[in-house]
Amino acid sequence: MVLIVNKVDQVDRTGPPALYFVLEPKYASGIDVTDIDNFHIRPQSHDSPYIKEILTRNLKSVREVLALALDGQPGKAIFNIDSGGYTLHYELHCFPLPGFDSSGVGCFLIDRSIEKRNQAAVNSRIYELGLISQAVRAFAETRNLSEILRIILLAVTAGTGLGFNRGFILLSDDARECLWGCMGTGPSSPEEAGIIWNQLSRTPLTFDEVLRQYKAGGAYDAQVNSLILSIKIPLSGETDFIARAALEKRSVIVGPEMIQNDDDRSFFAKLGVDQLAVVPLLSKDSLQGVILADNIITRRSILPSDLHLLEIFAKYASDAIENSRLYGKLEHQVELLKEANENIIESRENLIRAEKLSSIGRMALVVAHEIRNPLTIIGGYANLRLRKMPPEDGSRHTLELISKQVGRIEKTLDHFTSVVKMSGKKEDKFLIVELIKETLGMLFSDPNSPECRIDENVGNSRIFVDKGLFHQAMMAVLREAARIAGGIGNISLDITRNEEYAIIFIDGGENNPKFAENFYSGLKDRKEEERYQDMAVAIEILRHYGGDIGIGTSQGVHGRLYIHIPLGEEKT
Amino acid sequence: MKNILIIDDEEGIRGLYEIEFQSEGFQAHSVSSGREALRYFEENRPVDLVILDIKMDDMNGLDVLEELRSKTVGVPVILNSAYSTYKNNFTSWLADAYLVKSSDLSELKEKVKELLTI
Repeated sequence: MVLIVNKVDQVDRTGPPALYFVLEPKYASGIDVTDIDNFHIRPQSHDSPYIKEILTRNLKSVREVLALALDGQPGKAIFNIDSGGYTLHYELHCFPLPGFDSSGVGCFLIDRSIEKRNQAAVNSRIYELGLISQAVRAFAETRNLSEILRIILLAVTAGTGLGFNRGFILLSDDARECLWGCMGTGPSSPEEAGIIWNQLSRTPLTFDEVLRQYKAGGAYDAQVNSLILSIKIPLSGETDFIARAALEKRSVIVGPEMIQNDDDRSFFAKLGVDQLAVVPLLSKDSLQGVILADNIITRRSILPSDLHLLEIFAKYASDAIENSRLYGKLEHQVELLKEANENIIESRENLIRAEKLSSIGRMALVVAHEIRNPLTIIGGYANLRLRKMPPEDGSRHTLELISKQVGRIEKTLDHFTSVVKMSGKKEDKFLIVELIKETLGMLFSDPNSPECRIDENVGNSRIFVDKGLFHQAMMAVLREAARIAGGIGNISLDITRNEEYAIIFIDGGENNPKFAENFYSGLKDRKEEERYQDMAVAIEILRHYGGDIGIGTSQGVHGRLYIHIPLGEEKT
Repeated sequence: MKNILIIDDEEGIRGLYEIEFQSEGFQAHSVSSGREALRYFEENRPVDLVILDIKMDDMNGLDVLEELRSKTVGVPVILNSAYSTYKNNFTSWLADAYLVKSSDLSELKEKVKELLTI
């Protein structure tokens, strides 16, 4: 044998699994089987005292089989002994030994501890693999990243789980420049752990049940979460053990001996542990993040086997995270496409509206010219006659009537020609950048042409305008600018802000140093009356909203066309 | 007596302005086109102020203005148009004043007197 050396509490796991011995009654009759001292243990060996101790400790089980054997019947007793934190499992087989001078009992004391431990290990592994399988099944049922993170952490910690008290997940950002704390789970104190584990011991839950309970419940682990949410680790910091594990794609159990700098020390102090499992979340060599796990409550040492299991689980978790992120990106792309489609529809409607307004504007100008001249003549002559007419002249009343009505029509005409006073204006505050982009979208199919640089100080600036009228004005200016520059690809826009004004610089490019000058001389070309009228209307609209168009120098290079328009104020 | 040249392709306007400004004590002459106006100046006929329409058939008033500015220095020009939008044309800045046509000529007459410092 033997499992037992020196004393029962010290176990030699390398010994033989069974021992054969004979219990020989010391007396010919009337043997009391409740006392082992009534038997000789043959052969005598250095194991004999310990055999005796084992049998004595489990006398209740032993005496029954011993009595049976003495009566000529074989029997078996099974019993356990607690030894130094381990449970030793034994089988005692007893059988009669015929042919002996006196009745004896043959015994096999078989140590089943290793088998039992192996069986327990197998059961544990089955449980762990079952847990991973359930978690993977749960991954398949959701695309929500938060839910996936929660499943991962529950698998790491819930119940016996993968054996950890607390788990944390840090995810990498898109650029893989840093890891940021996303979620943590686990008790925040031994008391809380005691309550949870006590409940679990009363009503053990499967992983699926724990997951269902979580989904039905509310916020969990607020304290642990707040702890991890404050953590951000740059992936450039090679001295940081978490960054190093992530960059080297290597799992590691970090203990006090590996803590090299103050940052690491402070991180451990923050978590309140002195040992931590760090497992990178890797999917197809792409770093998704890291799982951190500790045993803050039980203080049980993290074993390599724990780390290995966590690594196995991390592979599935990484794929689930990557899938969720890809799905999120896909959803985002679908949203963008949907938005782009809506924008196209809206742009088309805006274009139609702007063109309608432009036509009305041009018509107003033609009408103004065609009506104003005859009115000037009619009213002018009437006024002339009135001035020279004696007060008692019978025609005076008629001429006064003509003069008054002409004046009235002229006033109406003033209103009519002011295009911005047309009915249907819908003024509101709009993001200047969005309006410009919409205009560009209406005019030009290539979203990257013309180049449009947006100063960060104008990003959220709004102007108070009628959207359609502003589009109309910008369309006229941009069309003209593209014509002068020899194509839309040659112009570029800079949108910036100067105090209370948004300023849009329009440049004709390096090859068009006289772009702005040519733009103005283009305005003087009366041969293309319609385009000129479009520009005139555009300028009228800009001025109505307190803006203007002009030439400005920028960066001392050459003159640039600019449009400025006040920000945010409602025009009264 | 100051000489005013009225350039307008509308006969009714020319007649009205001539009567009005003559009654105000000016010598008022009129021509019906831009080219006619340029010839008028080439003949060195006396002109102290020009009232100039913009939209005319043969030659645009703004072109006439550019020509006048390149040849004749110091003659005040009042652009007088049915269009208010020509104000946005930068050539119009070469004029001394820009007035939209109206049956009420009092503003025009005031501007003429102002420019002639009467």
